Amino acid sequence: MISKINKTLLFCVLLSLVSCKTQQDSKTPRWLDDIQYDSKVDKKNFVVCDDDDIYQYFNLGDAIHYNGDKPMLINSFLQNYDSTKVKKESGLIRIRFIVNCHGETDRFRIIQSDLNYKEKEFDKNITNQLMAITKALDGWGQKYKEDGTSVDYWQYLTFKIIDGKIVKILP
Amino acid sequence: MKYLLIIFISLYSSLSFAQPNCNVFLWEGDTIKYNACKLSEKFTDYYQFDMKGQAILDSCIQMCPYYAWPYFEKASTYLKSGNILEWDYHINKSYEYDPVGTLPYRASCRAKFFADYEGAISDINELDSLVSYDIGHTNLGTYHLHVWKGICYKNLGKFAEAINVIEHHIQSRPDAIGFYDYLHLGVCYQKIGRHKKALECLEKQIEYSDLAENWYYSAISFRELDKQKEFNISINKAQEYMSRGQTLRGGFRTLDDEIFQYDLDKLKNN
Repeated sequence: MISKINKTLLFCVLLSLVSCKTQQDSKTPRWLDDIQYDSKVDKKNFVVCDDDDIYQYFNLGDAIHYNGDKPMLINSFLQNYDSTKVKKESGLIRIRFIVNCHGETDRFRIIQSDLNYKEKEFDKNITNQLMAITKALDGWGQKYKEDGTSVDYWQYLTFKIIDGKIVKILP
Repeated sequence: MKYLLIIFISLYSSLSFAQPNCNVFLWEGDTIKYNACKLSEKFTDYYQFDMKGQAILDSCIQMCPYYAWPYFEKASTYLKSGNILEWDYHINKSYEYDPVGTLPYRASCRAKFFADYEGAISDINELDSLVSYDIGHTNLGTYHLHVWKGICYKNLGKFAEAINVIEHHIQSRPDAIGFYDYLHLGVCYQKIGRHKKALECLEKQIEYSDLAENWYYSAISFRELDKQKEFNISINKAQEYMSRGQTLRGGFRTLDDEIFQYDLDKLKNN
């Protein structure tokens, strides 16, 4: 009887060890530049439908899959970005995020560089505006696999800024 | 067509900078580079973003820090995630060890993904000075690099330079006219108000690739020339083509002179 209890305990301990290992593994990025969930900045209720299989934006369909296409996306920035209240700085700002299988967005991350691709930190009035407008974009389209299942995908926007003004939105 | 595009995109990485024949390094007596090259062949077993594949590239770099190819492949992956800083570091390393092999790709991508048209022109000029043979095409093969230089000038608003470069390419290399060269040339002429010349180009473009963009830009020039009937025909054709998806479309980025329904509606309502 005791031996049976010991065996059960041993099994439970081993199982918990395996579980811990699995949890650790899930935190190791499987794909380059994956963005892991960060409770300090990311929404707790944001659902990623399949964390192991997030597509890249170019895997399925258009580069910018947005309601009204790229012109509508550009309009959102033209209408809401105020270049009169920022420093006249220049460079590139990239914001990357996930569009989930429902077309919702989160896990926004930013990278900034000067025009020679060297890291720099922009005036917060520039980056905060770009981040806020990007977060408010609500026209992202769902992307589908051949079997009709909607997928999560990584999307990014790169802003070319000259003297505090947005001169180009890529890709 | 859609599936063809997906297949093409999946091949994109290998098309951009073909994996070298490792034996070349052996013949050159460089066994370190040969071994790194042999190891790098395993990278092709993985999807480009897979960290296991990336770890192979890291091992190649550790084994032979002056072997360009793994830097190039890492740059290509970072480019696709928009990682400006890592892209720049790795593509410049690739350039350091293989400038001729790297410059076409760097020139293409600097313009395509960072609107760095001056950087792209500088790369093309440098490549031109380094080789005595044809400098070749952009990474996906769509444009000859001389035409690409013209498109960069166009994006900088230097339309006369753009026209000069593209016209020169078309005249000197009639065998290498690209699918969309006349479209971009036509738009350049339109931008400087030479609408008859623009229309000539857009008409020639039909022979190479007949797209909604062709008719959209034709409509603009016809309107400028006060030719209402031709304007109507062109705008209707543009709409017809747009409705059936016969337009420029890029999986990686918005293409130069690409139009959307929004642009058509705006032209119709103005």
